[in-house]
Amino acid sequence: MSNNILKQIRTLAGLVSVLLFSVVLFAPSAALAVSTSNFQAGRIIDDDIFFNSATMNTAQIQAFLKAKLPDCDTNGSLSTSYRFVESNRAVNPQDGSGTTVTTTRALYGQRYDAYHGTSYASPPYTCLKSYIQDTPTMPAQSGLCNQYSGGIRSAADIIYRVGVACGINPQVLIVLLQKEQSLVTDTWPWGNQYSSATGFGCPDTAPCDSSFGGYFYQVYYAAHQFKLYQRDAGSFGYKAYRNNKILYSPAGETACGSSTVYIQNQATAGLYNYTPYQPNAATLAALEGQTVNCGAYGNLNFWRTFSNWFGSTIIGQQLSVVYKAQNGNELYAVWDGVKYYIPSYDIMIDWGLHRQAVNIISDQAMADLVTGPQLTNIAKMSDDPASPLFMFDDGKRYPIPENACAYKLDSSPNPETTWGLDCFNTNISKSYPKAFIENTTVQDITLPNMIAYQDSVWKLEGGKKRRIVDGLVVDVLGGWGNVRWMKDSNAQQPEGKILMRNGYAVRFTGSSQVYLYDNGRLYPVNTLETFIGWGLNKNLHDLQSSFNVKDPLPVDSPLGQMGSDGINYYVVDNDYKLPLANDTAQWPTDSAKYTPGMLSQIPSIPLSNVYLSSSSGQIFTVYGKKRYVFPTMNDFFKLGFNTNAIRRVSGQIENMPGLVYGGMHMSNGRLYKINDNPQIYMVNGSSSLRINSINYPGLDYANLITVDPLTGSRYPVSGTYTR
Amino acid sequence: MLCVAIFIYASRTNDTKKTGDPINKVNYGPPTETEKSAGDKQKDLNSSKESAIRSSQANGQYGKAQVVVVDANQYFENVEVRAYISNVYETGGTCSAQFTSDGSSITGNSSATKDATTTQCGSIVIPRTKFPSGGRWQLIVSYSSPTSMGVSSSQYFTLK
Repeated sequence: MSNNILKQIRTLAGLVSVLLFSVVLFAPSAALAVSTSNFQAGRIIDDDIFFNSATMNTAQIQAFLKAKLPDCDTNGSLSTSYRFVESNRAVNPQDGSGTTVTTTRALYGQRYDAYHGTSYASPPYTCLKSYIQDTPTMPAQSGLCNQYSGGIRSAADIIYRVGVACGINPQVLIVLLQKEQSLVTDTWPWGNQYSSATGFGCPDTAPCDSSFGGYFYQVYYAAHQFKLYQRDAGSFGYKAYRNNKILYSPAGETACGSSTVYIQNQATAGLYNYTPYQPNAATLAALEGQTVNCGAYGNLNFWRTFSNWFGSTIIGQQLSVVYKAQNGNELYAVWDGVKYYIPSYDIMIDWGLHRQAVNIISDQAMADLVTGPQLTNIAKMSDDPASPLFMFDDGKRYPIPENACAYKLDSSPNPETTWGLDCFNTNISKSYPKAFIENTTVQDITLPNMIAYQDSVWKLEGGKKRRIVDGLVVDVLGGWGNVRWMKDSNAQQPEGKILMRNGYAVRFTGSSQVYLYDNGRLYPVNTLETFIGWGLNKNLHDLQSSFNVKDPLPVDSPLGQMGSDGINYYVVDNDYKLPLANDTAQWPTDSAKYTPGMLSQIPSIPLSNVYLSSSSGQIFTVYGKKRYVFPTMNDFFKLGFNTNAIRRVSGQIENMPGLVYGGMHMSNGRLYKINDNPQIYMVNGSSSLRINSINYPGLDYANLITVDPLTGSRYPVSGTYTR
Repeated sequence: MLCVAIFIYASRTNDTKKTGDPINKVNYGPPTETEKSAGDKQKDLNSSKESAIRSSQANGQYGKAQVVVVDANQYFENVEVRAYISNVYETGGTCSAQFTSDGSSITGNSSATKDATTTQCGSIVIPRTKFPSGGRWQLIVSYSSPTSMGVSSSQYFTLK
């Protein structure tokens, strides 16, 4: 044999040693998953699990029973050992006499029956997966069980139907069958195991009550009794939400002691009424199958078997995966023989591991575990190619949509990002086994765009978090159902601009300045008329000035009477808007503010052609960005205007920037003079005639008015009045 | 040897996965060695229990009731006592809670009924107003029936 080959053999032998060593070390992780350190005497199982009858159907139960009982020794042909006294045919006599013999199970059963005068130990043996029984119909009982419809049914079907009728989780009944008589995994069950299948009516110190004997009645009355504990909770010894003294052993309090336990739910209270003992410290410390002095295993076995077969008995709390070496300071999540370092308490919270008990293992056992990546708050499932990225927070996992990432898959920046997460940075996001992630965390909705953090609700936008100061914005963004509480590590985005509805009037603490918020900008509101004109008096809110410090909203020039939604211009006044449509030549639009959000909330009324200023009382028209005033109502009527068309406006409109005075409207025949000039004129259509004598009869000298030169220029002199 | 090692590794790893399955996921894996042997142990337990019952009946121990007081406390305006008989299984007996303090004695009764594996006393509720004074009271719960009788150990509690 060459040296190379010898080296290879040595290497192989070394590898085998490593494998074997690893196996030994991995073994505890299986047991640790149901470490008794997770057993809570006051909370053995949660109500929502115990009373959930929809966990398995008949086919699933049957498949489970088959899985747990692959082979049945129907004829008792396998061997078993027991003590036997040939002289009197005694089997396992109480005095310990006899010699140990090994025979078939069949012979053992026959000898047992013969010696004890029983008839349940002899073959053939029917395993649970093959058990069938003709069952009676059980009537409905208020608050307990609905009607159970009788018929010939399999053991699995009875479990399912009783579970549904009584509102008990069939998994609870399965575990009860195993806890009481090991029926689920027994390959040669005796008849007495079926007759006391769930232990109902079977006290420790007396024979079973035959009126509840038989598999069906055992299953039915056990379920019925747990409902009775629930309905008539006050009638039984162990009561939920109270301190209860619970013995450690049937041997009694004097011999084995007791402790007071606060029972946290009805299901646990029911279990203690059914089996009134708790495990003592020695029982909890013992390995499964070991017996200790004053040990009571019923409720511990219920918890252990349920956990092993159906997962955690506690909703929202998994069996602890958190480990620490005896002399180490680091905490790890351990799964399937791999340890994942928990780098911070924040990350621990993100994964919900802060709620789990810390298991202490030896330094050597910790050192020998395979080291996986440290836990991160963003990860995916390594053994699921279709796995999305998840964000973890408080034990929940949120699938991360692409738009939550700061970069796209091709590494280009994502300008539409919400959360700004560095999703594809492998230093930040890691991969962990699917089962580990699913067992440790609970799936939630796809990562929402709104979070609750530090007493505020925020919208994630552009990689920043924007404080929402207006509750209705939450509704607009999908409602409170889309808001999720987040812990520190997932809410570290820089603070962005505050967010509120368009049309909000805000005032920050320490200042009396009012602003209109619209479309991401603040417009100072400097006059009461503007404030009222835009209807802001109905919507004024005081905000902390600190909200607008880190990323302040841009402040525009002061709000006037003109707004724009980018399509149209509007004159805004008295909480309504007058759309200018295409008629922008008439009104000054230079000072219009881009306020589409606000404008959409203001009711619209048609543009008029004549206005009454509530400030000056003048009636005027607007044309070519000029204001033309009627000097008297007489001119108004004579020029063909109607009072129905008058639109009352504030003085702000009359005096708005860019709307200049254009002169007066005068009607035909109106006598006027310009300022102090004694010359009298008479309006003649769109021009004037000079009046050279005040003796002309028929002219309306009584209503002679004085006008400004601008008005005069509107009616140029075209001649002299003659009779 | 390598094959053996790999086989053992695979079985152990499989075991680990089974027990580490997600919550509310059914473990359809085969029974463990402990589960496989559970039926044999169960038969021994049943046999021992039956022998012990036969023996205790033969020795006349059956009539001594072991009374376990689960809770005795004041809840608002009532004093509530909950107890059960751990070694008797019957309906028809009576449970009595007797409170004594400075020569005063207050008694409350309830009918006992069969539960799943024990005899339940049923709650004994006594209005606080029936107690002449607060302070320290001694309690003893007794059980009696045509077949059995017994008393609990005494205990004290403070009445407000």
